[in-house]
Amino acid sequence: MESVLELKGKLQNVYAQYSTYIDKVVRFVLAFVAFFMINREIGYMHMLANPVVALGLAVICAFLPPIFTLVAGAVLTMAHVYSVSLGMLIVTALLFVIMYVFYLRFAPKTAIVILVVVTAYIAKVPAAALVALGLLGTPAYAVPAALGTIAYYMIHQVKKSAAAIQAAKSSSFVNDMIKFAKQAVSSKEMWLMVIAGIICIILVYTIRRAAMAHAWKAASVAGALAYLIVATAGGSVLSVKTSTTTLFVGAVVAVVIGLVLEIIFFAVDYSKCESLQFEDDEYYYYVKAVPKVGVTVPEKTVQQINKREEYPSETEVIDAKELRKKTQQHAQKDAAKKHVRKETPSHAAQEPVRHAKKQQAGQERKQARPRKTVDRQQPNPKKAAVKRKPSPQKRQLSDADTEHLLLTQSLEKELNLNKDNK
Amino acid sequence: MLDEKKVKLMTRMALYEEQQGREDLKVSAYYRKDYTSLHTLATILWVTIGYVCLVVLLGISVFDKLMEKMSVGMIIVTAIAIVAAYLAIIIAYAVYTHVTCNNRHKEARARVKLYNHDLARLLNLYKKKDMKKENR
Repeated sequence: MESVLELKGKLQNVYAQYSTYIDKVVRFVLAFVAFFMINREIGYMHMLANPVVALGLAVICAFLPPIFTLVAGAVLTMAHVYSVSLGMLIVTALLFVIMYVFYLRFAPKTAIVILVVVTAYIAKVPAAALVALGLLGTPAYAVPAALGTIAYYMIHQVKKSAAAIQAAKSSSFVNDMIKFAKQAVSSKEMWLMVIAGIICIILVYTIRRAAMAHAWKAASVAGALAYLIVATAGGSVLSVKTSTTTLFVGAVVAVVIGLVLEIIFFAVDYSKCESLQFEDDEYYYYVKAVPKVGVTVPEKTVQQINKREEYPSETEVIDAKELRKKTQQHAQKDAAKKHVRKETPSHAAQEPVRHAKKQQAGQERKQARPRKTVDRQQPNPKKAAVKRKPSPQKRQLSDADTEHLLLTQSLEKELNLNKDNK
Repeated sequence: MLDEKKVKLMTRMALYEEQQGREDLKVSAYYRKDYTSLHTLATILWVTIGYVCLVVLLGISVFDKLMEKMSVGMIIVTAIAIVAAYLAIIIAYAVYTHVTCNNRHKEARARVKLYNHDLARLLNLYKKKDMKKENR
């Protein structure tokens, strides 16, 4: 069991890595199998019955949404039916249109379910698909499963009546249409299988949701048995020929597939199941906790012989003390420079005579200019109109602020930010 | 240097665009009423076509029996039954489509709003970066 779980873990890892490609491959395989089976079942148009055509179509469908695979399957079926009879083609087309209008328009994502069910019916293991749908889906999947069953029985009817219609070449397409429609709609076997499928899906879903040990196993077995019993008993009551051996083999395959799906999607250890009971103000709680089984996949350890040199980190650690010292030194230097500037002799002192003359001329000019008499009592209207902004409050710098200022000043100097700005 | 915020935003937006974005943007391009009524109308048309196909198929399959038991009363009863069934089906599908489209539009609009919000944040980040460059 451990090895199986280990394999599951590995597969999960692989899927996580290559999910894009794996999804496409799965879509391609499903489409190819479906087209191949349709060709094998009703390959009356020889040109399309070639496996290369199925392969090409499957490749195209792998890159398109699932609804296109279903449309391609429907077109392929209609082409084969057309080569048998036009009347049959009309009935087939009507059936596909009804399916699309009443269901697929609203749930195009479930197109893949219809395709899976049709393929499972052709492969003689319909119970497997139905059990899988019950385990992984919801009761709503009963609708696409029923549509898939109807589509398969239509193909089956084409196969059954094709030989007779091809032999009687004189029959008109209206007669063919009426005959085929009657066979397709009133096929007891088809309706019996539709009912068996719906019962199977709902039963499997109900049991696997039940809070009991080994619910998935019980659901798979019950679903397969229900399908077998309903099909056999219904067949005998409605006098429909059903192959018991095929049904039995299908049921066994369904159980096996159910077990595989349980390992993949619901691996729990019922032996370590715990039951808890607690309460709050409104309720009593009876909780059953089942631990999941998980095996850690051994990871590969890769030893690097030639290690790549790491790049130095871009952030530098700044020593605050050193920075403070530097800023103090810078501040001292600045102060010293200012002092020196004050002490240096001015231009006026170097040329005293010229300077004195200039000063004298200035004073004379001032005296010669008529002075405006301004009444200081009356406020200046221009000045009064201008509202003064509140003067900035004087703030005493704390130690932290000064430190911050010093730090930023020194950094600006070191990085030459002021120069750049200038 | 990589901006972590920007990378996260862009990843989230790219994921959304890949998954639901296309459909959501299409849906939210309409007003809710327009979107709902358009789809309801389309559903009514499609269901009418499908119903005609269904009636034709059933008619073909029971053609012999119909011909044998044909009478005026039977024709009237059949016609009434067909019309009644049509109305019932149409109403059921129209209501379902209306409710579904309404919800879909609401949800899509909410998601697109989030997406637009992310877009605006991304734009702001770019603006800030440009401002910083200009200041230097």
